Amino acid sequence: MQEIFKNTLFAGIAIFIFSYGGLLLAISLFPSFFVDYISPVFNSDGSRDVFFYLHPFILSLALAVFWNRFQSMFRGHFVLRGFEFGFIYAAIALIPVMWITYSAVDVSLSMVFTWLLYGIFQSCVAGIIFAWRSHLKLSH
Amino acid sequence: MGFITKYYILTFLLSMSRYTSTTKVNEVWIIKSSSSLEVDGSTNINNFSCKIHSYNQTDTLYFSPKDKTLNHIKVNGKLKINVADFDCKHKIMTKDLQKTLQAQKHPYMIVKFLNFSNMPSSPISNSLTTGDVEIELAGVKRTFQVQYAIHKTNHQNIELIGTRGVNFSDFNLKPPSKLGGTIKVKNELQVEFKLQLKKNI
Repeated sequence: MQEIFKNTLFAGIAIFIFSYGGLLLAISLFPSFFVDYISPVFNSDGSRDVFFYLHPFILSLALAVFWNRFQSMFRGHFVLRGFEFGFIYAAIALIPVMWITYSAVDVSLSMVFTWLLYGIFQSCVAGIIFAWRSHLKLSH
Repeated sequence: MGFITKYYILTFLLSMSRYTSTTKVNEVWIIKSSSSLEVDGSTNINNFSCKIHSYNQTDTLYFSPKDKTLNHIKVNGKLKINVADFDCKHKIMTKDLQKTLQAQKHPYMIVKFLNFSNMPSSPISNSLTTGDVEIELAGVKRTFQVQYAIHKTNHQNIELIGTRGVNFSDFNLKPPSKLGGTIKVKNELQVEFKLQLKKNI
């Protein structure tokens, strides 16, 4: 249990930094792409901002539980294990969720596609952190 | 002439006589349906311009003689603008503006003209003038001083261009902020209305 919480914390911090850093960078590099986000579909009044910024930790907790149960199935260099973990998560969770989102919510295909890439990036970051921590533990 | 036409003419004449019996009217100008309104704003990622291309109805402005003590001309008349007619040239942004302006709850933006510093027919062609307007938006009324540029197209027709900076917060509205505040609409807006006026003889 302690290991799950430690993994959650480490991966949560890493995802927070990389995701929001990446988001701010993308907004400054491709501002026109983000115009579609000025839409009534997205919360406007800031009342849910705290949930938005807690997302990396919620995601990390879910992924840490998944990692704890199935880590023995991932083999090889810790970076490769991290990527494999990230892509498996994308295949079993992200693709179906994005599929249903596109089918039910008035958002563009390009927007949903970037969410898929963003999700794969986040799960790969978490996977690499988990695999790196596991690698460190084994080498000690 | 049909009954309905006669009824409307009679109603108009009665309302005119009621207004003129209490307030002396110096000039009457018709706001033409071709009048337009533009709201310009910006976000941290783009600029936007939302426009009512055409007022699509006519209204009347009644100008009283100049009040020497207050040094202005009292005006009676207003624009009743349907918020749903705003077009931001971007379907999603248009929807978002209408949501921000609470178009469902308060479908109309009302611009009530209170006074002008000069008569529109003042001899100075292409002159500048000022006046107070009361803007009602999202159920909140605020009074602003507006600067107007008067362009005379001919003796009977003028274009009155009024500009004024306003804030979302003036009307207790919160500018939209998306994705945890990473995309923000700025509080300041520039409102420009172009009134096409025709003198009523």
